[in-house]
Amino acid sequence: MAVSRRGFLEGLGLLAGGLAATGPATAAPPAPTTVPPPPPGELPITVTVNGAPIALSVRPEASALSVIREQLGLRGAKFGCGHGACGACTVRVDDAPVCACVLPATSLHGRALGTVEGLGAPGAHHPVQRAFAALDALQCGYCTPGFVVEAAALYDQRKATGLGAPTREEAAAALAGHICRCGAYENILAAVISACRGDYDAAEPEPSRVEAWEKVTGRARYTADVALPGQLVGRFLRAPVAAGTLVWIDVGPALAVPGVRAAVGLAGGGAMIRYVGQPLACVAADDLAAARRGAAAIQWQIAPGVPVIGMEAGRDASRAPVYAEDDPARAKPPNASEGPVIGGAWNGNVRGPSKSHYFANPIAAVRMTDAAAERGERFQATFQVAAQSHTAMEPHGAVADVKDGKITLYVSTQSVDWLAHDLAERFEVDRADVHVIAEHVGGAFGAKAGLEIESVAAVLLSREAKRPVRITLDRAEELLVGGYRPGHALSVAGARSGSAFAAYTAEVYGDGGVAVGNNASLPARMMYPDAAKELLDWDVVTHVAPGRPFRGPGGPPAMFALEQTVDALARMGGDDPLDARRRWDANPARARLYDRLEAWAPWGGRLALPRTGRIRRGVGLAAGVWYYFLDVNTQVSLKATTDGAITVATATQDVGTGVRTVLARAVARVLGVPPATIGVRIGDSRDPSGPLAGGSRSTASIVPAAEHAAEQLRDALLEVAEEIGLVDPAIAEGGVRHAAGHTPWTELLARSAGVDVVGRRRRDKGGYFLPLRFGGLAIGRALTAGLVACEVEVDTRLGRIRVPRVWAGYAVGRIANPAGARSQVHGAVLQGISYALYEEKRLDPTTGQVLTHDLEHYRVALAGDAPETEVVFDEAGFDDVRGGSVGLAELATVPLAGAIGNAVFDATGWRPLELPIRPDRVVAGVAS
Amino acid sequence: MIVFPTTLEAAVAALKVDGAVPRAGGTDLLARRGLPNAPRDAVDLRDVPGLDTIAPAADGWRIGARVRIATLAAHPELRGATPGLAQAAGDLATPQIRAVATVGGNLMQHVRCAWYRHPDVRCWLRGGQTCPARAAGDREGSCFDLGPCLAPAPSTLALAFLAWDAAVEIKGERAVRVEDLEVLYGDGKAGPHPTLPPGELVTAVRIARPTSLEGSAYVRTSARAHAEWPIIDVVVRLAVLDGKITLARVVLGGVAPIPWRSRVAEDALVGQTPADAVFAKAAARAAGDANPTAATAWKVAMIAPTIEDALARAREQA
Repeated sequence: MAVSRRGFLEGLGLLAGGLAATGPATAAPPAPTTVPPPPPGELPITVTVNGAPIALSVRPEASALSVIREQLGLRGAKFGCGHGACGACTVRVDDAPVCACVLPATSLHGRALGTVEGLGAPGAHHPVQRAFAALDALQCGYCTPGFVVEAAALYDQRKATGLGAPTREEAAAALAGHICRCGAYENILAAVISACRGDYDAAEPEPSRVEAWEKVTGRARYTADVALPGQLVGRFLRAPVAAGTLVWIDVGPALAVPGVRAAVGLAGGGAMIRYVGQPLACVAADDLAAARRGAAAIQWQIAPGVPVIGMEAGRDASRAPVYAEDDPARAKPPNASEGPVIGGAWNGNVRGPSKSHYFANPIAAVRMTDAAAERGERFQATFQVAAQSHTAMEPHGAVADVKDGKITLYVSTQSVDWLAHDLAERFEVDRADVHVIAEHVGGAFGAKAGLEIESVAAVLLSREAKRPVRITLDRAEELLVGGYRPGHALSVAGARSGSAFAAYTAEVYGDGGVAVGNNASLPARMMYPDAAKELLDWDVVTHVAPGRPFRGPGGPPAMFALEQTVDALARMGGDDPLDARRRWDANPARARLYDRLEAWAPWGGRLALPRTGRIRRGVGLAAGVWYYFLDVNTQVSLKATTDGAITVATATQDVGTGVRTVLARAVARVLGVPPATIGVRIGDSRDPSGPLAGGSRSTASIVPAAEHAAEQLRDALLEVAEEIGLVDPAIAEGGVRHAAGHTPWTELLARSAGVDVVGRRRRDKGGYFLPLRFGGLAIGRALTAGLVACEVEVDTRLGRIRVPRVWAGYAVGRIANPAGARSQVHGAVLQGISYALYEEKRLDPTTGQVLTHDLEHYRVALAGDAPETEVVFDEAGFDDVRGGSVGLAELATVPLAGAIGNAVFDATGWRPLELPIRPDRVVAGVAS
Repeated sequence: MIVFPTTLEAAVAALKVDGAVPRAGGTDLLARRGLPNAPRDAVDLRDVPGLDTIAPAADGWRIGARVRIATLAAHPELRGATPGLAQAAGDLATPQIRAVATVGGNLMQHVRCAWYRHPDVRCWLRGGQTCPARAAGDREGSCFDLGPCLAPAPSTLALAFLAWDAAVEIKGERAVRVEDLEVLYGDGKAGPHPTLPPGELVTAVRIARPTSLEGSAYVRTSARAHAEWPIIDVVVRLAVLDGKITLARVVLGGVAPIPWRSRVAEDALVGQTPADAVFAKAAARAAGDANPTAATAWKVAMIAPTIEDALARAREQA
């Protein structure tokens, strides 16, 4: 039977936890267990911190990071991985950048420590900080202090040696020890090179986004940085096995552990264990070490079952069900998609099919048969794609402070507004007594969308301990239960008939662990209207933590299969892949993008690329599509005070997309003032209802509401102008024009009593796609369009694929925030490359343990893997959309894997059917 | 318990505590702190003098065990004389790790196997009965399958040191002994970690002085451009006199539980001309020696091109 650090009783077939022997299920709680000895004595050190000598006392086993953050209170350096792989904790020791998480605190003795806090101050920022702020070399910002510290060291070193600006390759090598999960490398590399060239030595630039200075200086406060007086540290006890029944659990012994202040069970006797890492209980203590000891002291017994791990086991009808037929949980499993779960029948652990093409389509079958029989113009393949972990740089976490029945929750979330509502419901308190705060969120990508267990646990523990409690996941937990894009098997076929794309069928199985909601056949429905289609989706349920919506759920695997099928069908008929798409694709926006792609130099030069020998090059393209979602309940408040300050606010949050800047620009545009003059407040549930950062709905929701608010403010100030006797006042840039000249808004505000208005997200012309609403979510009457082309270089002997250049074109209406939109595309391209070439969540096939439990084993693209990306926006269309702007984040990553697959085929003549396109697959594939 | 001795003698005495390990850069010890078998006792070498210098010796160099990897990579003399060593040092891990991690720590670090590093898995190397990586078909395991443990030896520097016939100085309670690095690693059957008896400490690595006729290179094959544990890596060293190869070293990483010196490849090179065809034949012989598991067979195809690339680069200097 499975392994466990808690030991087990093999003879009984029962797993047991805790430090003492356990009794039978009916026994009284066991006696308090022995307690590990307290930590050994501390050691004095002296260290120069940002130029000032400081004497400290540290535990000899402590990391420098814990001392810097907890003892020195310098929270710019972040905890990212804890094993020196991500660089979020980078500080300088005697000038050299090092990872503080794997640096013994004692080694700081007698050394000079430099943190991001010591780099620069407002008005006198380090040139690297200026470059990062000016060039939008950041997104969520959690990794930014580490990058900035590293880049500043490079700047100093190159300045001292007179080397000047590094090449892109040199800069990427210098940054190799840093992970930006948002994928901001393109701008990061540009910023580093530009700063080293001296471009930012002289003056402070305009920042690219509202909060840029906070992020480049380490002042931006994330949930992981919240430190309230008396705050405790929480820790989960998690199921060590993938399947079984929790026989009984007793959290009592945890309370006997010194330093432990509260312990709460999250599952009771009889609960089903469905995945490794399922939370069983949580503990709050004075520090993490005590919380760990407390969790380990909890007594429990599990009757283990046989886990169903992986797609194959899940599809084996002889295996025991993950959700038994009479299990109420079977009716409402977690959802890995962002839409509603469509009903489906169960067959063993397979659920479905859900037909996303609602009209059963016999034509597709007939055309497919014809194509096969008559002309052989049929492409058929089974694509298999690995699961992709979200693993945002800021792990899931929450700080709860429960006082007098009121809940304050600091949380790393995509939905301050919904979360406040859900918390109120879960804990049966008034919505007004719940205050959710997410000032900065260190990445999410879909995995932080709802009321997560760490929020629940933090509230329960705080209520119990009567003190604030922070509970944050470590990197292993994040990779275990923090969410992933399900793995898929897509059996597809495409047929052409003469010059027509005749039919496309897809049977798709998605393995999202205990979650359902696979819809990876669905995006094909919105493409190539003349092709008859039959699209079927099944969920394969297994004993694995739930998959969660990940940036364009279903989109990247769908396009990996569809766009390679289209490419193959085009080539079958001797068509150029771009010409064929032009013929088969009815979308007018993509028609314009096809024209613009032709002007891209690598596209024009593709026929001359080497396609024999060891190193082969090719260019591939793929189209993309995504929905236009919006939150119809969005409200944005605007408060203008007599001193001229204007503050826009809504209960939304920024997961790295630049929402603050979108709001400021929307208001500024209506008022005709510089965006920098508009204050922004988000991340607070007390503000009017704002959208969840998911389904690419933020821009389309907040821009019209902000504009509506700004229009009301403008109108109110126009009235003020009339009241104070200005003659014939009319709205103009930055104020009103009148008979005697121009009076700015600030002056009118000084004459007013202040103005408070709330803007609403007014309806689109023509309404929405369906009358259905999921929460406030509506599906707009438009589809977004994308087109991506990639150049690849394939080393056919070593199997290495490089993507040197990417062209990425999108039609999402008016671009509300150009710098932020380009950054979104950079990140989406990078994540798409990462998905296509590197990312693979791996499990032990017997136990279901996650093997990619750290950022060495779970590999994501780094600076050296980032392509030079040309970003193109087609801003036409979307005339009926209020505000004219729709979301981009999901669409932008959807075509990438398909484009890379097609480029690899173009280069080598071998079509990759599996993701990631690993070196071993390339070598074997090209050899065949 | 972590102690901070101020002399080498005191450090060695402190290491007599059963299970106590030396701590230099501390990067691997801190990364493994959450694991069940993480050492409880460590002897921190911070205050022990004399371990952090690179000194020329009559027959080569003596590299102190606490020399940082970044220092080694940047050492002007070694960069000129032993480029394969400097490149290996400059390519491994990340800049931040290289700035802290040490030569001794790199040699003695533990394997990166996903099962071994998993907090909730007990594997053979951690006192279990079997190797779960083998049972699960680990793709990243060794393709020279030498023992119960499938994990490849992780030390990149060991490849380079072996190419320069390194010996290791080991300080014991009474004396300093000098051991071949190859002997220290053993045959891989006892596991991939070099172990020393309690009370001993690696204090320096001695490498041979290269001949004036030689070239060397380090090549690392991985999927990403940077910061990835290699699929295969290799240090090669070639001396050429009158158009014939007079000395060859081919040491592979990522393939075996020990740094794998391919003597068949070396034999195929010595006495031959440094030509592509000769390189290809030697590289193929190195690969021909492999005995992979079903899951690691794919790595074998990567051996020859990695070696050939390295030999071609070494030839440019020889």
